[in-house]
Amino acid sequence: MAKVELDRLTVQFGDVSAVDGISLVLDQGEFIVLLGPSGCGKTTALRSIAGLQHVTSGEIRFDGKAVTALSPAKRNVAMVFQFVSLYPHLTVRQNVAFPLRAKGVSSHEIAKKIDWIAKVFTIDDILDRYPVGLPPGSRQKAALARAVVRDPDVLLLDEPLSAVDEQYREEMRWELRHLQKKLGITTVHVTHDQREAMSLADRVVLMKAGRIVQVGSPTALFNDPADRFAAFFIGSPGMNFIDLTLAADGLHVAADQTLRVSAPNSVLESARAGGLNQIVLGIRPHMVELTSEEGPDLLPATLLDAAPVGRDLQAQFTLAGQTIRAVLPLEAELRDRRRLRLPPAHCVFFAPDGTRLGER
Amino acid sequence: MSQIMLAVQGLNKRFGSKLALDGIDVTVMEGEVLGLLGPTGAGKTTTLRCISGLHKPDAGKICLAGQDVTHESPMVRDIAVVFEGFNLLPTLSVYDNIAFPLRSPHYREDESEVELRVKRAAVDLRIDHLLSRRTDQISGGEGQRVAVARALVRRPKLFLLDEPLSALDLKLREALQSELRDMYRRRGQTLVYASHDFLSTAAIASRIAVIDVGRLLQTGTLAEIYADPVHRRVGELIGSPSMALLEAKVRDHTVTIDGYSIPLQLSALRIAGLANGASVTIGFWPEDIGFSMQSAPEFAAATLWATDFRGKDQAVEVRFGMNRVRKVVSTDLRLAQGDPCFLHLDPAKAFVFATSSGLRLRADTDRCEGQ
Repeated sequence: MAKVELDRLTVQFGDVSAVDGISLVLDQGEFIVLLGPSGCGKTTALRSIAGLQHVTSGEIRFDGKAVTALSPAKRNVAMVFQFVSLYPHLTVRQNVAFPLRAKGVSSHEIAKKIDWIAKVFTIDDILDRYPVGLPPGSRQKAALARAVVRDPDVLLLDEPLSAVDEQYREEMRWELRHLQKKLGITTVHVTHDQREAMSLADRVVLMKAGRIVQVGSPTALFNDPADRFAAFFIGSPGMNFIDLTLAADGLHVAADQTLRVSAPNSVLESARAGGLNQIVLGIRPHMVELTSEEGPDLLPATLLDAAPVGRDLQAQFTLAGQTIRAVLPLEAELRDRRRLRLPPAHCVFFAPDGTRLGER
Repeated sequence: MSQIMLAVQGLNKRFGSKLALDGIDVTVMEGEVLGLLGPTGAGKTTTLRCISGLHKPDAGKICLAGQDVTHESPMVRDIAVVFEGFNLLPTLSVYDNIAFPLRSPHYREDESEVELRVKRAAVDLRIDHLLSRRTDQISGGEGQRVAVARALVRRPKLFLLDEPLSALDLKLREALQSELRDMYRRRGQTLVYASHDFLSTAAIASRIAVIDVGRLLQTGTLAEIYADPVHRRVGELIGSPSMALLEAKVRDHTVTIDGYSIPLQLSALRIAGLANGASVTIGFWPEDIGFSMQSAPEFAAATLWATDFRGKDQAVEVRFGMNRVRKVVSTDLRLAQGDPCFLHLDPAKAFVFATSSGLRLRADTDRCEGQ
């Protein structure tokens, strides 16, 4: 268990910066998820921490000590990959014992360790079975047990759940969360699946093109996106975006200037300061409200389609030619409700280049 | 008025000694989107392959728009199929891939008509800017859209989609899910959508057929299935989180759930015929389970085994005895793994399943007693 620091970490492949000067401090015992689309540099960053990737510049420190120049074997990190790599000719017990034997731990000590880890991971019943024929969830658990049995300073997980079926994945997410907290081991997990990231992380590190877009708790990423990319990438169904124009008398829907939208002063000020006359409003579908009232800030919309999804009603409206998605309670009354309310507290605003406007 | 577009009766298919399909009966109305939901290996693909004519069933009958097509070749069935892994023709452009079915000898169309339809499908799927590209110059997500567009250019009687989105990353999958649903609704087309993922099935389908080990367990709207799940596997496959299935024992006209200190008073009818000490499985939809961090009357103590913050909401896994419950709870609650917590299980919301067969114990003709 260690505190991990990345200090202006840069990895270049030829002219391309796969990781472009990222700095990040991971607290001891923290569960960090590196999230982003493919090519964002998350896996390269993870491999750099493991020592599998040559770092162009910057430093990596474990508990204050630089490890940048150390080989993977000298870093005391454990890594689990997407495809489970258990030795097929060894039982689960022998697989888990393997890293301990390699370190020269005594048989007595190994037996004690295995007893402990088997309890923590609830794998007693598969200890003497071979990996072939085990369900994927159990294999992945055995691989994790093997990774943590020798008390690594940092546990690195490279999309370990992406190759398993949705049902097992759900199971493994719960297991992983429980075990990580129970073991208190500093963990870095890489995924492109925002649902998985939100579900596992203490803090999510959202990356794009080698840089960090936002670091924060799942709630912070969801409620307070740093920019339009973060707003788009997190949450499902995705955030609604509405184009607005900024005139002397305030904000209007771009496609229908008769419709007015209000925004906090800080948004208007920073938009004016930036000389913007076009900005974008973002609101999550489950924050959109439907009403039969009339009022200056209520936007007339036409219902396109509504369908129950699970225990929500997912509805789509057109507002001045743009499609707006809303997640409403299943029992929501749709007839005679023709106006949308976009509660100001739940609206976020972006400049045309995607940067966030106003106070955060 | 809508008519029956697809009627499948008593479909059986055997591969060697393995019975892959065991008496599948299903009806799909014109304009309906039926979700075929089941785990990997349940028989979803085999069902679709039998319907499309790529497999010959060992027994059973398949009627398409009132016509028996069981023994017809796939070519003449007028069904469009999109499988996972979409098989685009690599030497052709995106345009020619989409146009392919319209140029087949069976459905040959004028080139002017071909162009019209290809463009319309490409606009619908937002790939009209890619038409001149070769298929090895587009991304996986774009390739998937091309495969769907290729199926869309025709107006077949029936579309079959087999996990068409599972290879895509989540963001694309979600975008395509709602696009697909909108598109089929708008066009009034009939679709069977097979998937192992509850959320995507729920997002697309108007009715769901739950399939497991070659059998259809239940078919209905989500609301119908929630109100009346017929088998514990239905509970396991439906919902997010899915149904809590609790191990319990019958004791003197009550049911004792392992680890839950309050015995459940179920009406005599619902556990009729069960001996003292018999095992049953009690199912609760997570939404019907009361959760509190403070002790309260009718709430029994349990432990927070893991938590799951998800931004919009948070979920918890609670354990007691050999049982566990997963549930979405308010984000206002401050929770930590290992905390004590309290659950309320309302007997009126309980579904009783036989532990051995998994079947719902049918003595409980309604679960609204006491309401």
